[in-house]
Amino acid sequence: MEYKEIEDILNRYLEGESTLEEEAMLKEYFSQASLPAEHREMKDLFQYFADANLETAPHFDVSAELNSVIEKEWKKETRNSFRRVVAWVGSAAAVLVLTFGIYQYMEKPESVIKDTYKDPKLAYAETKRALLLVSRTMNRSTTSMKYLSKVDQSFNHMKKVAEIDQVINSVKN
Amino acid sequence: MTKEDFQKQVIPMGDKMYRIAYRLLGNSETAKDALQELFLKLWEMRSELHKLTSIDAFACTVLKNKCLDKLRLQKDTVDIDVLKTVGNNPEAAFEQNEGVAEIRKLMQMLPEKQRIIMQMRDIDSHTFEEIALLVDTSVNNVRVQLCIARKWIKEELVKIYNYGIQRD
Repeated sequence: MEYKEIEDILNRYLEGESTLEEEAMLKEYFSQASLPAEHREMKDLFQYFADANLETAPHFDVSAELNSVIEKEWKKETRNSFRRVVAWVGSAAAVLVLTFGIYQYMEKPESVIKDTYKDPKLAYAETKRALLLVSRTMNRSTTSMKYLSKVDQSFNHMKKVAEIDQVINSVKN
Repeated sequence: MTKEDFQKQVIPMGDKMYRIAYRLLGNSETAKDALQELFLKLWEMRSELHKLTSIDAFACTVLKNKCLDKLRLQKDTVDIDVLKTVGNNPEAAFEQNEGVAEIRKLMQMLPEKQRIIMQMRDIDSHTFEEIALLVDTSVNNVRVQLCIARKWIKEELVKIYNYGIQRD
């Protein structure tokens, strides 16, 4: 680097007008071992900056430290969000069951008599048919009831045995 | 902002942010605490970070406030002006270079604001905008203060060296 250029930057440095890039150039320039004698104080000044920069440097791996902090937070969040989803689904299901129950309870079918046939003749015929079906079934049941009268007949025969009993009693007396 | 974006865009600011915290607090442990708090806050806000014009400037402001909180807390408990202890590194008292040792002393003689501005610029390489934000002043004032501080240090150094030469 030209010495003239360094002089220029140095002047701007002292005026507070140099850029960070220019200051980096100065730091590099003054870190050289062999320099003209003119700027001994500047060499020391930039040496001090370099030393102090090392002193204030973090004594730990900043990125690794911060990444582990974030990683921990991330795990905590995903665990919590899973729990939230489970809780949400659970409560949604409970609400659903409850609503369905209430709906069932409220919507008990009311017995309303409704006309099912528009044509009265057809309705009559259908009713007749239904009644016939009932009577037929009933008749079928009553025919089997006829056998009961036979039991009755047997009882009548037994009455004669009772008459014999009466005769024996009168003989005794 | 996803976790990967956060790790790519935000985490790399860590080194710079640590230096700011260290500069303001003068203590590496407390600086580390402030740094972690800052990044937890940024992490919580990650869905809104893209709306900011400068994540950097926002991080600086949050960090500054965290540091001020910590300083207030320290002042209450330890009752010392922590800012004044910045740079008073006893280990550095043994300096191989005599000139550097002189500069160390001169830096401590600067007015507090000038010293912090010069340290933030010349040691930590922060931009004028960041420094202005951190010390609550304008960019122009940062330049002016920096100019005064740099010139004073240089003149004092020249005086010391010249005196040394005359004495020899």
